[in-house]
Amino acid sequence: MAVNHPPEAALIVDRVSKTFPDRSGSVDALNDVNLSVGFGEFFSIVGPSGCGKSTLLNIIAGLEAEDAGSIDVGENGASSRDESRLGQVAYMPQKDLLLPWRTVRQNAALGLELTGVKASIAHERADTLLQQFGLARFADAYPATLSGGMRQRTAFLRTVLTDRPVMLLDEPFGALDALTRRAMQEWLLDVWSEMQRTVLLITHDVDEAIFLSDRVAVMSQRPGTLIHTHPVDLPRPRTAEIVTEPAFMEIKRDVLRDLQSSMSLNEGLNASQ
Amino acid sequence: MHLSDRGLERLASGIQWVVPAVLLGFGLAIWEVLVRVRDTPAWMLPPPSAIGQSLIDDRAMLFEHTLATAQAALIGFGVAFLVGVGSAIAITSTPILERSLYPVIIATNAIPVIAIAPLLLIWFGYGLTPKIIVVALICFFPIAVNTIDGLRSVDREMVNLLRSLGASRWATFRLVRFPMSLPYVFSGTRIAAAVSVIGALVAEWVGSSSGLGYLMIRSASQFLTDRVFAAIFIAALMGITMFVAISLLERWLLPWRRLERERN
Ligand SMILES: Nc1ncnc2c1ncn2[C@@H]1O[C@H](COP(=O)(O)OP(=O)(O)O)[C@@H](O)[C@H]1O
Ligand SMILES: [Mg+2]
Repeated sequence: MAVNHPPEAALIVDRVSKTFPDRSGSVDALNDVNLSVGFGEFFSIVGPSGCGKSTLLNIIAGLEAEDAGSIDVGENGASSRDESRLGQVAYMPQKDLLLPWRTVRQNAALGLELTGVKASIAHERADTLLQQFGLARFADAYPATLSGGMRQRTAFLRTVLTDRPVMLLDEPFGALDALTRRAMQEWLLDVWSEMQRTVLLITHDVDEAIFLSDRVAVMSQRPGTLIHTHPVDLPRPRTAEIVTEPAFMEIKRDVLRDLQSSMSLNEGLNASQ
Repeated sequence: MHLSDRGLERLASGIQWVVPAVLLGFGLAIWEVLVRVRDTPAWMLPPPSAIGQSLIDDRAMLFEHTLATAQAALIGFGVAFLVGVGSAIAITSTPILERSLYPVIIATNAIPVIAIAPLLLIWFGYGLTPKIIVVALICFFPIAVNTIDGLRSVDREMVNLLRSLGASRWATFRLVRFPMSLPYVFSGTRIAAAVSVIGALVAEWVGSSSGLGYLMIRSASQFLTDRVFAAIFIAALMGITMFVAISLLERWLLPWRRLERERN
C-alpha cells in the first residue's frame, strides 16, 4: 500500500534505468537517472541526441516501462507503475502530432475532451486560450494549412489545456528556424508565467534551456544519466537580450563545459572497452 | 485582356472537361459515318443515332428495368458496406478474429461469382434476393480489404499521444484509428460502387425477369441491338454516377484531405 506523504516535489525520478532489447543484443538508454522538479518550476535537460532524453519522457508519461527505479508524479503519492501513470502528465512529444481531420480549436481541446469534459465546453475553453495567445484567427483552420510555428503553438496549447500539473515538452521547437524559435520561446515564457505549471523541457539548445529555465541539467551520452544541474539565477521576466549578459554567458560556459566533458568521458570509456 | 489566376484556373478546369467531350463526340461521329458508309446492318452494329433513338422510344421500358437494376445494386452495395466495414473493425481489433476471418475475406474474392449465381437461383428463386447477394459478394472484398488496410495504417506515435492523455481503447479508435482509416474506406467504397452495377447485371443475365441485364439478354436474342447498346449506356452511366456521388461525399466529409493533397 502506498503511504500518502505530502509530496515535496511535483515530479520525482528516482534511480531510473532502461535497456531496450536490440537485434544485436541490447541498448542501454538510461542509467540511474535522478531528478526532482519543484512545483511551478521550469526544469530543462540538455544532452546530445540519442542519449535517452525522449526515452526518459516516455517513461515518465507511462508509455514505456522503467526497468529499475521509480517515478512519482505529484499528488499521485508513492511510485506508480508505468501504465497507471498514463494520463497523469501533459506530454508534448517531439512531433506536433496534430490530428489532420481536426481544426486548431478541436486539436487544442483534445486533451480536455479525453478527460471527460463535454466537447462544447472544451471548445469554448480552447477558444478562450486561442484568443488569449493570439491564435483566434486560426481556430477553424486545419493543420495542413498551418506553418510549422503555428502547428507547434497548437500542439503546445493542447498540452496546456490538458490541465495536468506537470508538462513534459520534448524539443518543442527543434524543427523550427532560428527566428521562429526565438519568438516561440518568448511566447512559451508568456504562457508559462500566466499558467504557473511545472515544466520539464528537453532540448539540445543550451541557449534555449538557460533562457527558459530555473534549472538546467546536463545529460551524458548514452546510457543517459544526469551529470550536473545548474541553477539559473536570472531575474524574470526575461527578454531576448538576456542572452548577451555576463551572468547568462557564465552559466552557458559551465553547461557547455559539462556537455563536452560528458562526451569525452564516454569516448574514453568506449575506447578502453 | 488580362486573365486573373482564378480565371486561368476556371479555364483549366473547363478544358479538363472539354477535351474528353470533344474526343467522345469525334469517336461517335466516326462510328456514325463508318456504319452508314459501309452499310453495316443495324442488328450487327447500330449507329449512335439509332441508339439515341432507342433511348427515346424505349424510355418507359428502359426506366422500369433501370429501377430494378439500381435497386439491386444499391441494396447489395449497402449490405456489403455494412458487413465489410463491420468485419474490418472486428478483425483489426481482435487478434483471434484476424487470424481466423482474414483468410475467409480473401477467399470471398476467389469465389467465381458467375458460377455460384445459378446456385443462388436454386436456393432463393427468381427475384431480388439472389441479385443482392451477388452484388454484395462482389462489393464486399474491396470495401473490407481497404478498410482493414486503413485501420492497420495507424500512426504509432499518434496512438501513443492519445495513450499519454489517458485515452481508452475506444477513445483511441474513435478519435484516431477510425478517422485515419476513412480515406481508405472511401477508396474501397468507390471501387465497390463501380462494380456493384456489374454485379447486378451478371445476376440478371444468369436468371431474372427484370433489370437492364435481363433486358440486354432479351433484346440481343431478338436482334434489337440498338436497345442492347441503350441498356449498356445506361448501366455505364449508373456506375459512373455512383462513383462520382461517393467522390463528392468524400470531398464533403473529409475536407482536410484536399488541403493535405494541395500542400504536398
Ligand atoms: N523502442 C525502442 N526500441 C529500441 N531502442 C530504442 C527505442 N527507443 C529508443 N531507443 C534507443 O534508445 C536511445 C535513446 O533514444 P532517445 O530517447 O530517442 O534519444 P534522444 O531523445 O535523446 O535523442 C537511442 O539509441 C535509440 O535508438
Ligand atoms: Mg528525442
